[in-house]
Amino acid sequence: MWRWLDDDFTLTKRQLGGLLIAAGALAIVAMLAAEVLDSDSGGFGLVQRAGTALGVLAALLGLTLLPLGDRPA
Amino acid sequence: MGAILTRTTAHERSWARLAGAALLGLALGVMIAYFAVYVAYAAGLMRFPFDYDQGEGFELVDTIMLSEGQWPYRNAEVYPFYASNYPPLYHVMLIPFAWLFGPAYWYGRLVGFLGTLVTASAIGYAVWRAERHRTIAILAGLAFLASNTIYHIGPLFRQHMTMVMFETLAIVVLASVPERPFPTRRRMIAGLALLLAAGYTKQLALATCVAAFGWLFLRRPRRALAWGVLFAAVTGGLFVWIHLATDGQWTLHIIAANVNEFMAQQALDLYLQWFRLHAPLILLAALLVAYEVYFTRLSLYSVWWVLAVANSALSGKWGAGDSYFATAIAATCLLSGIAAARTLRGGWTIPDDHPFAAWLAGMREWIARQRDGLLSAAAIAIPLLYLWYGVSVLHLPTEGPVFEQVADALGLESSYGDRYAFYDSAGWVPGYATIGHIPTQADVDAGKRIAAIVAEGDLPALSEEAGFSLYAGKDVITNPTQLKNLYENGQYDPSELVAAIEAHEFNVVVFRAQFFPPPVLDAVYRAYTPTETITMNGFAYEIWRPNTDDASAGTGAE
Repeated sequence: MWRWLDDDFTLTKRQLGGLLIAAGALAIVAMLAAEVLDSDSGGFGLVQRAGTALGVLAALLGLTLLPLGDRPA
Repeated sequence: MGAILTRTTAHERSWARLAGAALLGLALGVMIAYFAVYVAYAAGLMRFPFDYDQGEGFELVDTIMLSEGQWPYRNAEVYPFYASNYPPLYHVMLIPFAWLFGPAYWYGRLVGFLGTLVTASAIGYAVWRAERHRTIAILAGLAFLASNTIYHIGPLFRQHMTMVMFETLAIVVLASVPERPFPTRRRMIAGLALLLAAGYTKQLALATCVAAFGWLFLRRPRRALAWGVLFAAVTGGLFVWIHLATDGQWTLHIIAANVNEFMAQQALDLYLQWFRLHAPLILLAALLVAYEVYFTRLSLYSVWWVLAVANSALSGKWGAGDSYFATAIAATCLLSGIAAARTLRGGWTIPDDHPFAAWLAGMREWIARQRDGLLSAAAIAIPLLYLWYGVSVLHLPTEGPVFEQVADALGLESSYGDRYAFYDSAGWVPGYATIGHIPTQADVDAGKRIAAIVAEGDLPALSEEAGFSLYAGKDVITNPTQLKNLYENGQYDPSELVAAIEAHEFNVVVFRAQFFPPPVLDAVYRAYTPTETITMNGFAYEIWRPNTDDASAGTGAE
């Protein structure tokens, strides 16, 4: 759990992939939540569409990094 | 390898290398020509004694205030209704000039211009350090200066390019030895000091700070956190000190008043324009980022590029524009230079122990067999990419010695018609700065006419640009866009300024874009009348004088 605080710890490609998947999912949830919480804003706007697209892209990129295993990021 | 070359392949390779060298020389010539245009433009701006880009004068006012020991972060609701929304470092750097030469535009433009040369040199040095290819290193640095965006904002009295200089230097210092797990303590101190300088030059440098610490976190999370705490303490300590020294005005103007309306379409249009102008270099940079993501370790340059490109989305803010891409352009030139040089020396490899190595075995064998042919193709393709870039960013004045002949020979006409003589391949989208021409004597004369009007009588003038008041030796009244920002964020009560306008406490009002808050504009419409329009640098400056007949008040003059 706390191994990442060791002085010689380096993030791996797999861990970077996991972070990207999490960040992408967070971005998608945030964009959808913004729409639910502020439904009077006039629809799913350009910023929300761009945010969702970037979230999907980040998550997909993260998925492709998972097979790279323990190579340093 | 040479022993197995046939006579034919050796001949083809030497022919390709010769053609490549000629094309590389041609690309270098094109970039040097752009540099000459840039120097001429910078020299022309340094001779111009008024605002060229709106806002320059207020940065000069900040410099003068700081040189007199005053903070420019002040209560904008009282006379002279002035406040700044930029951090102070760029203006502090100019204090010795202000002491020696008083209020003048040339030294701020000179420092901005020199900053771009430092940035270009840092880009070239980083490319050379990574790949040891001198010509590509020079091309990469010059490509930065050849960008339309860098060209037109580089020699302005604006802090933006000084921020980009500090950002680039910080990144180059921190990324010095990529094979080391973590930069040395000395490099960390130097790199973080440069990041601090970038942030206190302009807030936009935050993305570069995030990139640097993100990359450090990938390498050594624990050390990154420790240095991050130290960096935050120093940055925050400075922030709190200025906050206390200005009774909170610093925080109000730097943070609260910088939250502007975001126009997504403007950001999208500027992204498309940025890609259209820099496409060959962006493609090369993206290729290197993808390679590092999948086949080697991520360099700081790649992380910086991704964050800088993402941060350019802020160009959609009201008042922002293409200058917000300057950091992304610096990172693009740096990464593309490394990619180009690596391609020329055949340095792209797939490690034997890579998880994809087995899948890519066929391709690796083919590449090994075709290595000479591929290197020959690269020798031609890389210079062609830089030539493509050279054509994309075409810009030059269309009047004046040499420029007129070159423009005629290329069949170019001004992109701005009679407004001013400048061809710019960038075209125009909302947010793109419509500047780039070299001011003429007619522009100088027009500025002096406006300044003479501002100088009339003893009362100060309410001018949308500071230069005329400074030239006339009068107080600079207001910073319109900052008042607008404050007003729109509910942080500004304009009643005292409105009362001063209604009481005719200003001899004239000079409008260029009418960026004041609506109540201030309404007050001017009621109490003043447009009497004259003077064109300077292609912009119409309206001179409004006090209504002499009370009956005319309230009729409006829109």
